[in-house]
Amino acid sequence: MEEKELVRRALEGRVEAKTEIVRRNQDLVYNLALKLVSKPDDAETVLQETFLRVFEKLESFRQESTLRTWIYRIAANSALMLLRQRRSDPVTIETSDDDETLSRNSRMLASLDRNPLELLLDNEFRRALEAAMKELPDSWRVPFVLKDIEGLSLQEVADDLNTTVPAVKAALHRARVALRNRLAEFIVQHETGKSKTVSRGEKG
Amino acid sequence: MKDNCKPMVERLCDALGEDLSSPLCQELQDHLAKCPDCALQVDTVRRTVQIYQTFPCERVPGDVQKRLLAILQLPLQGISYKDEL
Repeated sequence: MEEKELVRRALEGRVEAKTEIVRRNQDLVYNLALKLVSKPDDAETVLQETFLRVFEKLESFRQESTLRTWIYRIAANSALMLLRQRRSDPVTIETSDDDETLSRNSRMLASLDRNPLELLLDNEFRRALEAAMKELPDSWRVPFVLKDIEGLSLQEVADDLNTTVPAVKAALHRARVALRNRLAEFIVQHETGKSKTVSRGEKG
Repeated sequence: MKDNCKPMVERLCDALGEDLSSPLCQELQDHLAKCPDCALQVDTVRRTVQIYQTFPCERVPGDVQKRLLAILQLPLQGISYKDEL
């Protein structure tokens, strides 16, 4: 069914049209929420808030963008509102680049070049990726998700967060370096663990 | 500079709001070409971002979906993942 027709039927209160709107967009909303607010419980709150608002405001949807884009913006705003209500304490995260970090980064790169698929398919690696994101303070994670993952422009992110472009750039830089350092740490530990297992196996 | 650094420099310049031919970008490129440490920085950050961009999507868990539909007063039937396959 075409989007225009779907919206028209949903506005008439037809249950199957509303259900279809949820079906088509729920994964988009849930994934964006998970990345922005980190905790599954909070992501569920964002999911519910988003669709409640979608049906509350559907009459004001002017079809200047696609319904998906419109819902996406509502979801992003719902997540940001929730984060503002629950301002987390700033935490200290390593973003320095000393010699040890450089050496880890070098090993990370070598490992990614050698076996990128093996790493990406590794559940432990995926958990490490998720954990690294969750560790970031909201003020770093949100710009990273909106700009680097979701592809918004710097100006759009700054507008959404009610801040300036230079502030977004600074937060992005910190988030990227912190994530890179965590991943490098994981990869080096992972490889060291594997080589220990292999050498123990060889001895036995 | 490594071949795969050039796109990163372009993105860096873009993020900084600069043209690739601007003095700042030129300076960045010149520096990366002769500084392996900085090239490593750029490369590992780029790879990190790429990894996160390829992170797979999650489906809404069944219990979460049930609660969503209950709040919206919509019936559970009518939403089926089979529809999307």
